[in-house]
Amino acid sequence: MSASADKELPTVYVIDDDASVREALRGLFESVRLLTETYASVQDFLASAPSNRPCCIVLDIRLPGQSGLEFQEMLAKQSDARPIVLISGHVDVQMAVRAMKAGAVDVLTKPVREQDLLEAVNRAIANDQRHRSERRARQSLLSRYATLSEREKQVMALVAAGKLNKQIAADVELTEATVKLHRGQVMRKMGAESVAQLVRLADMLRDAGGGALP
Amino acid sequence: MPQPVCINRKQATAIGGGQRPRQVRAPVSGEGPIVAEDVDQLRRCVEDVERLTSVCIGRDARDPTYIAEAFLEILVEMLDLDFVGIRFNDTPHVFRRVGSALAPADALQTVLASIDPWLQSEHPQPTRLVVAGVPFAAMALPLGGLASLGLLIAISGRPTFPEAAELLKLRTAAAQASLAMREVREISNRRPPADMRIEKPVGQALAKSEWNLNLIINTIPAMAWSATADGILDFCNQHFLDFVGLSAQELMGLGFHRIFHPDDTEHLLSEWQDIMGSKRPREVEGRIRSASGTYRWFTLRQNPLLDPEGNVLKWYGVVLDIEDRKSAEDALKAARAALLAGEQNLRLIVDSLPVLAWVSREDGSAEFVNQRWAEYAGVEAEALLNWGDFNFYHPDDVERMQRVWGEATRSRDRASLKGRIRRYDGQYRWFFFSCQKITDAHGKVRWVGANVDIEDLQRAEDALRASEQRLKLIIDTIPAMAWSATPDGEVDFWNRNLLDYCGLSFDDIAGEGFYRIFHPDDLELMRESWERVRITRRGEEIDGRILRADGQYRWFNLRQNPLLDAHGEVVKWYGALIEIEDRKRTEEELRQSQSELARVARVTTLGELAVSIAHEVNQPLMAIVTNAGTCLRWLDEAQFDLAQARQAAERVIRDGHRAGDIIASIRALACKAPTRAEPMDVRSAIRDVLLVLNGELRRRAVDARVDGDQREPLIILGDRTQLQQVLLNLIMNGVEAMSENGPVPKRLTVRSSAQGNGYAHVCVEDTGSGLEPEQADRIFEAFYSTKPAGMGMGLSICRSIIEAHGGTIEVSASRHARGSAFSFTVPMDGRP
Repeated sequence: MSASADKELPTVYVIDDDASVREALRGLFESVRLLTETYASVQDFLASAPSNRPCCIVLDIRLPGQSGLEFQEMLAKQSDARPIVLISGHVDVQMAVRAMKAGAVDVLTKPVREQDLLEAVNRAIANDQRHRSERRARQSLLSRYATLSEREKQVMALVAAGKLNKQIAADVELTEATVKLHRGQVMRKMGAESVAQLVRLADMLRDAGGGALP
Repeated sequence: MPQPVCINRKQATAIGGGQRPRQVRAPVSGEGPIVAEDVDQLRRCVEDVERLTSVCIGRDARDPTYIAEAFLEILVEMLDLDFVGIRFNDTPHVFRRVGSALAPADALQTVLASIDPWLQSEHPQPTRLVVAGVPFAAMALPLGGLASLGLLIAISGRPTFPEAAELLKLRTAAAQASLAMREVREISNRRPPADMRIEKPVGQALAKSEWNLNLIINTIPAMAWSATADGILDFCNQHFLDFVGLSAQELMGLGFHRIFHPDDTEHLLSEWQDIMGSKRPREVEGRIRSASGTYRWFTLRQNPLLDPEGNVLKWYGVVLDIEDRKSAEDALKAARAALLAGEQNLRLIVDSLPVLAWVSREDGSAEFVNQRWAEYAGVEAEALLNWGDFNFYHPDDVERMQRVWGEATRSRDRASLKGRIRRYDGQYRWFFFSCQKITDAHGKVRWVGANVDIEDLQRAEDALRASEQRLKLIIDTIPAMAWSATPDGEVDFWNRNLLDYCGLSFDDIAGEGFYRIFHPDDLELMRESWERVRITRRGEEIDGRILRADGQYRWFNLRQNPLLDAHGEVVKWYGALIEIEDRKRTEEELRQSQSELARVARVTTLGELAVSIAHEVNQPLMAIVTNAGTCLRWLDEAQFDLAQARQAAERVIRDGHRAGDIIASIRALACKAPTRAEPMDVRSAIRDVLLVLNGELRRRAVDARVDGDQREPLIILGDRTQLQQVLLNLIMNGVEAMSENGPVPKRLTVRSSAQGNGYAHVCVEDTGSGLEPEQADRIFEAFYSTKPAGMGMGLSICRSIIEAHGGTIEVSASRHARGSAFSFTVPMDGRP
């Protein structure tokens, strides 16, 4: 886990067409020290909101132009993992199911109890922070793996498969000494302190789908 | 020379009746008393004499042969002679009748041989001769006093021959015969023919010449004859005899009559009499019997030999076989008759033909024109011959006609052209000239032609062509597609436009194949419509989508009409397809916008009004609750901030007021009094609402109609927009009430009428589910709904509006079998 990720301050983005609602929500989130940005429409949000910090989007389902649900589905389609909390004047079960399926953190009914809203927002931000650090770790792993030579990747795969140096040497038709040399390089480049850690890294790589482990 | 026959003079002078005994016993000697037997004998004698004196009577008696034969016949019978004969001086032949005693040939021969020398004597005396040992008495009597004509010879074996009476009779006969013959000779006036030769042959030369002549006459292939001036045949050549198969004797004299055909005999003989009377050569024709019994046609040609005084000396003739010529002639005659009849018939036909028929020479000059041609031109046919017809052709046509004629006739066997011909009344009429070249057996070329009056045809054709032209122009120009179908509905024609549009060939659409062009959703409608049209025989219009060649469906208006005959039966169906895509699209867009309008209008006024109200009220509520929560947080000890708490509390107050304003505005909306009570036509308002809802009604298969005559305006005082909102509500309520109707017809009726009390009455009836009585009581209350999704605002607002107008609204059961009727009243303009 990188420490720098936590240093970024989480932000709440409020999208609601009603000015007094926007004002009330800003007042509420600032009372718990959350950075708050408000927008009157989805278009305004997309035009000006930064996307590189942990956040939560609080969205009214009923919006002029693009509705909240449509916006949420659009983000999901773009693999934009920013968490969303939906609020609405009238929420039926169908609408809630549709929203949750699209990845909404919560669907709340207006008027919202402020405690429920704050909990949902905090939970969303925590989730976002975790997702962001995982993504960062995965990206660092992938970039490290990218520094390996083809031979080193080959050796790493065989080590991860639990083979001994001798076996590996026979497989790749190298001397055992050369295999040892490659192996050391792999451990160093991947930042692995033990074979067990290397094996876990290899698993992570496979899950991330970034490195084509032989 | 035979010895002279010894004649017993006593016997020869005796008079007697031959074998009759009484004559022997009572000789009429003039002595002794006259007895009865004598009287009887005398009377018989007188009778016989009388008979003999009356022999030579009649035309046939002109022939000496006949005269001789006739006397011989009588004598042999009358006197019971064994032989009786006549010998003429100029011939050795003895005409004779022979009895049975001398009948045997050798006996007759003996007799003839015996009497010949006897007869040579100048005055032969009665004599006796013995034949086969039997004695016969013979005597000869002169014909004429000096026997200048000949002798009558009588021979009998009776010893008493000749008795006195017999002698008397013989003498009488001889005298009569000679008289008759003399007479005949007198008549025939016979003279020897004049020998026309300059050097008349004599002696040996004569004999040779005769011989040659004889040879010629008997060998020429003709039947030759000669006759006396009085028509007695006296010579026939061998050829003649051979043909008829008769002997010269049989034919001579008048014997030739028998050779003629019974049907011709009389005619030929009378002709012959005429010829003889006229003394001129003439031919007659008749049939003559040949030896084999068959008859053949002959021409009998005769020439008279005349003496210097012009009297006929002799007739010469030939008989020529014309059987072949005759039959050919008959055939020819028959053929000619037939030809004539045929010709007349043809002529009749040619003259009656309703065409101007003509025949021209090779150069085109007329040789013949039929009667009709002449009648048409009003002139005699002759006036049209030899180029005369050109006077009747239209001056403007002549040059062209001649050119066409020239071109055609030079190269072809037939020609045709058109031209105008002047009628008798001066009118020119169009004719079609058509002719054919014919070359006869002699190589002569003619043209045979007929000119047919095509004036009317031409006119009709011109008119037709003009109309066809116009029609074609129309069909080519208008962007429509046309078709036709047989009475039973089979398509038999599509115009090019239509085929091209659909990109189909006629084979694709023949029969019922044309259905393929319709949109699947329209197909059933099209089938039904076409079925209905064919049954009712009345065309109708229908709109449908048709597949274009590029695969795109476009809207068309389809129309069709039947062509009916006098009995009202369909002769043909004609139809047109008019593209109305743009119109349809505009219509659809209009309907959609109307439908949208209706929806929006309904949404604002009905159930969703409540949702809208909720949302409007919810927003300030949301803000209030949140601000209140925030306020409390700033008052919390952990982060106490009074300024922040005050701000939040102020926002609570502000949002609370705002919520109140919203509620107030909703109330105002619902209960708003008419802002503009103006005179308006409620019926046009109804029409407008139905128009707006037209698409919606159609989509929901509702049959909406305005009841009664609604054209007369019904003027009321009111706010048009609000009243239309009421109507919209009531109608949509009715429509929704019928949404679960199933097979029950969805019928919506709107009625409007003037009540007597100065109010107009408007009623909307449906055939929907209807209302329960308790529902009817509460239906106009706010927030009361019979619909699962209803908010109960619509009818409440309606009541508010109507009441604001000073009217009333109520619901009752429909006059239909089911459903309800919502009605309201509004004051009329100018009410008392």
